[in-house]
Amino acid sequence: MDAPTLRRPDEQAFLDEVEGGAFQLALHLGRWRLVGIQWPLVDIEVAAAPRPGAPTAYGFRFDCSGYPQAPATGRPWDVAVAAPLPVAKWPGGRSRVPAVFRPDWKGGACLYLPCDRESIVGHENWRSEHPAQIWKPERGLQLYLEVLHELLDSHDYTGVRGG
Amino acid sequence: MSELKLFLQFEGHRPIELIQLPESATAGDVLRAAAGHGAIVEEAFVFLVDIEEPLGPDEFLHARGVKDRHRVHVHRCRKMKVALTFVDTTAHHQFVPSATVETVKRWFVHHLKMSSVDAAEHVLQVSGTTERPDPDVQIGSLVHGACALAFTLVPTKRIEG
Repeated sequence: MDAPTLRRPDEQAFLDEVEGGAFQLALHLGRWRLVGIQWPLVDIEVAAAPRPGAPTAYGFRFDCSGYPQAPATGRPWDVAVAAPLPVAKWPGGRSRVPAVFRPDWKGGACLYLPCDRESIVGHENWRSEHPAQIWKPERGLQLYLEVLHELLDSHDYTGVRGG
Repeated sequence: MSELKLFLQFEGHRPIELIQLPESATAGDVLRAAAGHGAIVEEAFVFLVDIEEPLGPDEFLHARGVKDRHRVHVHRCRKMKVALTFVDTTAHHQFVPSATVETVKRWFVHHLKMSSVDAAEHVLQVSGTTERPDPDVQIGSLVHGACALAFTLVPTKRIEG
């Protein structure tokens, strides 16, 4: 008999969330797609509104160490070649989208969002200015993904940055 | 016999539960499944998304077109009285508890005659809180023991600073 797979608590917590109704409903509605897991790294594609010459979804890689108590950190990711997405292929927009997808912020290694583990550091003002986007363990990665999907489905989003 | 996996929300319960029922299930089976997740099901109704008429207690799900991965909602209120505010305008409208936040927002921005561009840059926030429920959330899950709810339409702010 095979020995049971021993998983880290944070990995098991994430897998439990993936099996949960909220995550499964979002998958069913086509909001995002789980591409792969190499714990603590998780690759997910988030659907985007149709724009000329732009993809129908963008890949992201999340580091979910310490999940769900610790926030995840995410960056645009080319899931086909397993590498950071070149800046020219990042999503672009008028105001809110470029404020989040900032290649000048920490070398493009994370998104400028209140729910991001790296970006929240030094931004205590965000807790009062953007309380709805502060990481909550009970929402987990779902919140981060909802924020990204809202941006990529908004009128602010104009397509590929370098398009 | 094949089975149905259904997405369930109920009164005052924000998580979305996945329940598994036989294809021959009735509304009563949905109530029993909801009770297993902690729902108060005495005098409760079973709703489909955005459909006003709840299922009868012995009504078969398939008779109402329920298929795998459909959504159901259990709530004791037949209707929710929703107050919606934008700046100095407040409107009132009744929705079924299974209406989604997206449905409520769509009604309100149409009522305000707000352009689709402007509407896309606003979200509904539960009045008196900082909570901005996801568009897929069914409004009955936001309240417990009440058939009324209030939202404020607020702009989505650019992340700065």
